[in-house]
Amino acid sequence: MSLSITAASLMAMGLSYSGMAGLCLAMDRHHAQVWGRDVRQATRRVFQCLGWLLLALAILPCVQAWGVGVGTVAWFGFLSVGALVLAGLLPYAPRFAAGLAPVMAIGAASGWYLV
Amino acid sequence: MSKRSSRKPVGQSAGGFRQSMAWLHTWCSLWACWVLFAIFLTGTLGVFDEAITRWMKPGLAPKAELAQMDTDRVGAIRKAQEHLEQVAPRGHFWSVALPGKDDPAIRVFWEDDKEQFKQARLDPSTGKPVGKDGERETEGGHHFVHMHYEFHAGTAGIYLVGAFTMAMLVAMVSGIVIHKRIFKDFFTFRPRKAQRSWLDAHNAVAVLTLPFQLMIAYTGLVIFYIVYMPAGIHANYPSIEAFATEARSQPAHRDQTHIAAPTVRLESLVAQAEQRLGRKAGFVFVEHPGDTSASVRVFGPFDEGEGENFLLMPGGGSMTFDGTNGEILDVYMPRTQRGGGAMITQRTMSVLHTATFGGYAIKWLYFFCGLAGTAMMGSGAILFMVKRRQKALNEFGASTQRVYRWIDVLNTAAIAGLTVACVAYLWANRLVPVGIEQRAKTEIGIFFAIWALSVVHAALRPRLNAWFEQLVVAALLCVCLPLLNWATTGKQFVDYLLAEDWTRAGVEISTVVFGVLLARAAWLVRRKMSESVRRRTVYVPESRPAASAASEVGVL
Repeated sequence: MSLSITAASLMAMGLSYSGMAGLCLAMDRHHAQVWGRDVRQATRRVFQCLGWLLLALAILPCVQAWGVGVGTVAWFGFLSVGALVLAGLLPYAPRFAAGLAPVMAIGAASGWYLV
Repeated sequence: MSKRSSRKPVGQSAGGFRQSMAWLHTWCSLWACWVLFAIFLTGTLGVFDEAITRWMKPGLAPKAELAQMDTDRVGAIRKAQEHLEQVAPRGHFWSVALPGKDDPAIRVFWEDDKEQFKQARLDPSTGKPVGKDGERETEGGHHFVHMHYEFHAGTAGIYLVGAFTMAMLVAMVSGIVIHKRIFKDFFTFRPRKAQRSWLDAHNAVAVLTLPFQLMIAYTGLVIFYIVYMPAGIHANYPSIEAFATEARSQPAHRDQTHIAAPTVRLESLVAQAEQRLGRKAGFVFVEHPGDTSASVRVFGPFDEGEGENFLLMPGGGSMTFDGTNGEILDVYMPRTQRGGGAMITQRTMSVLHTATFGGYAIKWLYFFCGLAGTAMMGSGAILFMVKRRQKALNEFGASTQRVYRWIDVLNTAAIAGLTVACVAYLWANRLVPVGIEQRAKTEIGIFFAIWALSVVHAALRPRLNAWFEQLVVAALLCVCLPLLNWATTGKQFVDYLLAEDWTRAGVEISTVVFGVLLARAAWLVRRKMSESVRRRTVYVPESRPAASAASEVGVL
């Protein structure tokens, strides 16, 4: 299956943003920024696993659209931009930044059905 | 500075090592940051050089239209040869860019007998040079690319950029060593906390885009390996040409004999090459025309779209002929690669640097990561002074305050001043009259003049006023760009959008977005100014010297 570059870019962007958000909200400081308290151990594990999983998944649309060579380079780019957007958004709108993550993840995943 | 470093004890512990790395990071970066900021900003704009060029040539038909246009290429090469035989019968080289998606005219380039580079554009139907009033003569977006890797200074500029790139690698590695909380602070940005915020921002943009920053610096050096590391070649080969011949498996370079011989008609060679390569010819290069050593190389067009899924682009192919009798010397088929593993690796790295793969999505990724790199340089430069305004460290003895003042001036001019110069270059394109001599150089001259003026302005005005005024000018020039375009060409981004001319619309809309961000930055400086005035009037007794009052007033 091959994806159009626009669809792949949106999906990779969504997955890398939500993956970064997972890793970020597993940290006490950022968890407190959004929910006002430290993260519970079980929740931390869930967030971390989800985060790494989503970041790993983000390579799939890239490889589908560009192949392994260019796809890997693009993946690194999306990881950086996803993290930058999150870090920039978090202090100004913490709840929005956190709420955006599942929306982006679900939106990106549904890309495989829609496109 | 050296006095300080020798006095500083270098401990055995990790703290000692980290401290010496901190020293290295600070001082290596400080002297490099202004030039690196310029390299990064122009390089980032250079990602979209083709789009900027199209905006700067408003008369050029849309790309799709030009690509479909079927010009008489055999007729065009005949006209080009007639022109070149007249102006440079025995030049060092001729080259001809046939009409295509970049330009509907025939472009000819040559070096005259004084080895001066010359160029002209010919009308494809008449073969006569196109009048200068036909189209805005401009370097377009290539100006930013040239600034990026050589500062318009040829080989000297390439060395300069190489030295600063090395400084950047030193700064990045030492920066990683001294960043103790690289993972704990991974996502941390705390705005409105003065020095803390600048450090957070500096760390965030650097750490989050680290793979890109290391890759771009390293591959930038690899592109010019022949310039930066020539010793191995000189030790083993009689000349650079001999090395290139072997490394790229291409026909040997033929030395000029200075014996006159007529050059063959190029049209038959172009027709032959088109048939053999199976694609339209794009570019013809004749080395030593009119000499018995003449050779002709016909290139297939290089099509970026074709290579979207490849890092190493399939080549456009080329065919080389003897220039005196038309004998075939070499056929380099399209979609093949030559040279050994090392050459192919180098070529891949160069593609990785120039973002000529993967289409527009990759270009935007490079653009954002490039902006992050630019922000890394800028925030580092500002942070240096923010820290010292809190508490002067007196590194320069009695002249510390004077040196600090100069660092402030250079910070303003390197960051805000260069931004003004970049957008002023776009304004110059619309305001410099069409048809004057050396028009393209005039535009670039205006760019440099404005940049130099920004240094003078920053030196004459108080620090925050200089920042505020330069940011306001940059913001106004950016936001008003569509107005200028509308006043001079009768078009602006709405027309471009309606005509589905995405590249030109993209350039203009992006500039306006930058204008809004710059206006926001100017507003933040303004707020800082009124805060400073308040604090100065409340807390600082009049008898205190101005310098310490300034350090009290704090941060930008």
